[in-house]
Parts: sequence; C-alpha cells; structure tokens
Amino acid sequence: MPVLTRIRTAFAVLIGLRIALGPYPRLAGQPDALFRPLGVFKLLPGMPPLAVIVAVQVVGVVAAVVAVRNRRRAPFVAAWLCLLFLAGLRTSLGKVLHNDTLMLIGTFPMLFDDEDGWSLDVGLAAVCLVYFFAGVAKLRHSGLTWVTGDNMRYVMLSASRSGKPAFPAVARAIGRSAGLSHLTAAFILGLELTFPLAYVVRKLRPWFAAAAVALHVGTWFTLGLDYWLWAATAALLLLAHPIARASARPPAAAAPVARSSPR
Amino acid sequence: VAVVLLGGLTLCALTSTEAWPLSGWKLFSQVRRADQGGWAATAVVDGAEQPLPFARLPRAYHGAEHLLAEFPRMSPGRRAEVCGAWADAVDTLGPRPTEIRVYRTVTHTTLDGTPPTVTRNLFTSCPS
Repeated sequence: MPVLTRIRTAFAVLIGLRIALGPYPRLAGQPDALFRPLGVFKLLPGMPPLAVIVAVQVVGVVAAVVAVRNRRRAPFVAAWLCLLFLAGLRTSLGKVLHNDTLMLIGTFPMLFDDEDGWSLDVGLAAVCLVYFFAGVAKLRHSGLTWVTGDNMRYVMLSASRSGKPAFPAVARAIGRSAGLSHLTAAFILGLELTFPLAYVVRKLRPWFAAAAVALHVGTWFTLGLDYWLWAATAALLLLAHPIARASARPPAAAAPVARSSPR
Repeated sequence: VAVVLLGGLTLCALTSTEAWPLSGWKLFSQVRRADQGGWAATAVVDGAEQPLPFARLPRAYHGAEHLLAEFPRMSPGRRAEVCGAWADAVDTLGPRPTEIRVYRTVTHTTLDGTPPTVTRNLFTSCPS
C-alpha cells in the first residue's frame, strides 16, 4: 500500500476523533452580536443552530470512518471539509484559534493527490514553514528579548495562576528560575527557526519530530493548552516513510522469532 | 496546489494577516512584561457590581476578552448589542443586571511569587 494511503488513513482517524470529541455542539445558541467570524466564515450571518452543527459532525465522523475503511480520497475530503467548517465555527468566538490549523494545512495537499505521494512533501514543507513563521513573528514583534528578557518567566507565572494547566507546579518552577526560563524560550525559538532544516535534511526528521512532540506536550503541562494535533501532524509528516514501512511489515515476519524463542 | 498553499502561508505570515486557517502565526510573539494590559467586564445586579461570570456561561459566550479589546473600535450601537447579549446570558443565571461596565485593566506581576495586583479604569458602561 502506498505511503500516502497509510498516512492519509492515519489523518482520517485523527480528523474523525477531533470531529467526534470536539466541543462544537456547545457553540450553538451564541447570540449574533457575539459572533466574530474570520475569513470565509464572515459569509455566515451567525452561529448555525445545533441541528446543523450536529449534522456536520455526524457526516464528518461517517466520512472519516469510510475513509479509514476504504482508504479512498473522496471520503477523506468530506471529513476534512467537515472539520474545517466546525473548527472555523470554534474560532468565531473572538480568539483566533490555531489548535486545528496545522493539521488542516498539512493535509490540505492530500485532498488533491490520489497515489503519487507528492502531497506528503508539500504538506511537510507547509508544516515546516508554519513553525518557521511562528519563530519569525517572535523576532519581528519582540526581537531577541523574547529569549533574553523576563518574558518566559512572566508567561509561566501567569499560566501557573490561570487555572488552566493540570500541573501548575511545572510552570511555577520554570517561572521562578531565570535559567530555566531562558532555556525554555531558547528551545522554542531555536526549534521554530530551524524547522525548515527538517525538510532539507532527512536524517534530522526524527529529532525534529521528537522536539515538536516535546514542545507541545510541554505546552500542555505548563500552559494547559491543547496542541496535540500539532504534535501528531508534525510527527506523522516528518516520519511518514518510516511509519509506513513499519505498518507495512507483515505480522508473519515476527511470528517465527516468537515461536523459536526458548521457554 | 503547492504554490497556492505555500504562497498563501508566506503572504499571510509576512503581512500578519488572519485568513483562518492561514494566519500571521503570532503565537505568544508579544513579550510579556511585569505590567500586562487587558480588559474586564462587570455586571451591576441589585446595585452590587460583580465580574461577568463567563466561566459559568455556555461555551458560546467564551472569548469575551477579545470582544472587549474591540470596544474602542465599536460603534455605540454595536456596544449596546454586545452588552445586551451578555445581560441576557447573566439573566439566565439569576437577577437581570441593570448595567454592564467595561474596564481597561493592568495586571502587575512580580517575579518573587507574590500574587499579582490588578488596577482598572472604567472605559464605558451600558444600561441593560
């Protein structure tokens, strides 16, 4: 089975889970005065009613299940569009939410690729650019003070009192230590600015995948922000070929070893 | 597809445009300092002022801090609509507020672990 099909199937699972478990039905009932859409969602007059949101969720989950079962592109496209719609509604509350954006962007090329696999390369390039531009934005708006100043200490101390992190002691410990705060900030900015190297130097990809997962798990521990889709998207696209090889290994290959092992 | 996607990403990033899901990627890009500006809203119920209980309201009412930040750019009519929507929501939890007040806030955080202090200045109020 082509690498693209395996990776697209993995993303279909993630999209299905996101659609099924997301807080979308709770968005219904928002007064029109509070509706703050972005981009094409400005075409909507207000938050759709509950029936519409649930219907899109059902269609999205069914499409994701079909995409996993028959591994074709069309149901994947349908599931992707449903997530785009639901996540777009979620970001219409006022705050620009980035939780779903990396997966939507990284998988966008797969909507147009049947079997050639070019979409994995383009998706990875897009993911690398997103991280890079996040680093550039920090330099542009704050300069190196983002790392060398007390910025990270204030971020961590505020987060530790926000009630969001499950383990506020981690954020508090980093915030109280100037050294740990500078190291944390340097790791984040360094990772973001060097991310395009992962596209160019294939050998570095497992390291960047591990670092991206560490960054987003750390973000959850310290700030209580849910970026698990970013971690999954970066890891899946960076490690697409090893993951596909591992999942393609026939189970029979491992069986003789198990049988011949001494009791 | 590649040109559209990578070009769009680059354009939005360089121009700080929010064309969701494309973005300017300003994730935590502003430096946090000891004094952090913000906004707060309160409801006056039976003559007593209390913070608007956004956490107790449905998710559809979350994100208010971003709406509050737009108050300086809103027309009086638009402000009244937003205040009215919040007053209706508070009404479902208890007595209807007679007034919604919007404050500019400055939160002062110290590095020595003492609790932060918040100072506030009334920006506007709307009867409901």
